[in-house]
Amino acid sequence: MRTLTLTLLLALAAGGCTFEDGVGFALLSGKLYSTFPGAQAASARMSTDGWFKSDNSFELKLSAMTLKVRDLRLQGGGSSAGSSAASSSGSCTFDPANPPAGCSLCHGDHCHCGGKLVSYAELQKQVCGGGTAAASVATVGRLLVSRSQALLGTGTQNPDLTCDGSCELKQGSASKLSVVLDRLQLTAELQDRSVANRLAGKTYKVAVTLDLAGAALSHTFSSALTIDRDSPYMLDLSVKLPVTDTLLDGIEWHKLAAAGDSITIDSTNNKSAGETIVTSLASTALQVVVTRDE
Amino acid sequence: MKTNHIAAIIISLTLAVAGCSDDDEHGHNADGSHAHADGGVNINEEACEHIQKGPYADVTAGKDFASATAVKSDHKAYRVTLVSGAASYVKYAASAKGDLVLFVNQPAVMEVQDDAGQTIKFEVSDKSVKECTDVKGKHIAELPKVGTYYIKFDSSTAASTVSLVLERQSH
Repeated sequence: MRTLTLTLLLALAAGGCTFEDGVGFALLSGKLYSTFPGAQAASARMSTDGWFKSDNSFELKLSAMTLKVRDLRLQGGGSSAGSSAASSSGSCTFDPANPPAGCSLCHGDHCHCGGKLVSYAELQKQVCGGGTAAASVATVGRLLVSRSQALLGTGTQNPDLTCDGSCELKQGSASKLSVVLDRLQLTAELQDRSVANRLAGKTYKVAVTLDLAGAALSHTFSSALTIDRDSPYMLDLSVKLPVTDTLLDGIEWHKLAAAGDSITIDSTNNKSAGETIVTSLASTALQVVVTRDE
Repeated sequence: MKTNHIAAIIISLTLAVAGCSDDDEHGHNADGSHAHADGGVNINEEACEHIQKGPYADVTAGKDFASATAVKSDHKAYRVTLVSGAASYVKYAASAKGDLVLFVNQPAVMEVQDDAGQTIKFEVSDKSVKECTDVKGKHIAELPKVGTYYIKFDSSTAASTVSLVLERQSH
């Protein structure tokens, strides 16, 4: 009996220094809070009668505004499986989910880089350089967002996001958090009460639907999060997504195509204005609080 | 589980802009302001440099609010061709309230008007700055809200073209 017990202990010890089979190196949890602060009553952009003002003095009375988020991804140089820019053959392709620093919201064959649109082809040249393989970026953990984020008023709080599969993370590290977007939609009335009177006193109905196709807003941690036995087991992400109040700046509404008293911005109508909105959206700064706990 | 071992990391990151616009070749901070060894920013120096060395953008002023041409606080000197014999207008889209500082390289009678046509009184008006002799006027207007502001050059302005540099300044 003594020999059997000793043999069992030795076998367990040799099997990875743990007696808790299947337990990961960290347990991921998270919450997301999405808002559009520019349309809140305290904003310098809001009039007392409820109209939101853009930087060029157009005014919109927003009736609905939603941002559909696909998921939150904890990414970095972990050892777990994930997307990679380098293939096993060593060739290099640009991965829109992992644009270089300064670029974000990659969709429609381009990324938004400091207010400029840069094509995937150009970014591939930058990332891959002389043909050497780019660094691998692994998705360490993923939290799913099940419902659209209503942005008006107090916004939307998702207090308990669900994991994609297991919440337990493999050993590794994470250097950034990406919020992967799907779609932005809003409806509003539009007017120009300024001296320019560019809409000739008319009020228009506005509908915006922007397919963001998995473009991501990212937040780089000041130091990588380590996921191992020496780090606290619980890893909680509290993410605030305050959509920039410059979202609707710079749009020359009076120059857009209108159908009667309606203006539509989507994948087929007024596409340039849609790109202006996405460029502004790219300046949204995520606020992330990471809590580690045993 | 132990609960006495808590590490919290609070980080706030501005995503968007990495570096400056394409006119930045001379020691700007990430927000486009000039970098100094002591960490401070001297907007007079900035204005002098842009008026002297550009980058330049040539625009033609409009004769009224509707035809006003857009200018920005984007580290450029706008060479504004004025309307002959009449008032001239350019416009500035303010995405935030706060001070707008205007520098010009010619003596000019100027004012700033809001999108209702109301004049915003200058808090400060100087005819020169000590950092260079190229600046012939510096005015500070406190913009009370987001929106379009019109910069009006009076018809009495002698020069036909005026270089205009705009800077934003926080209190």
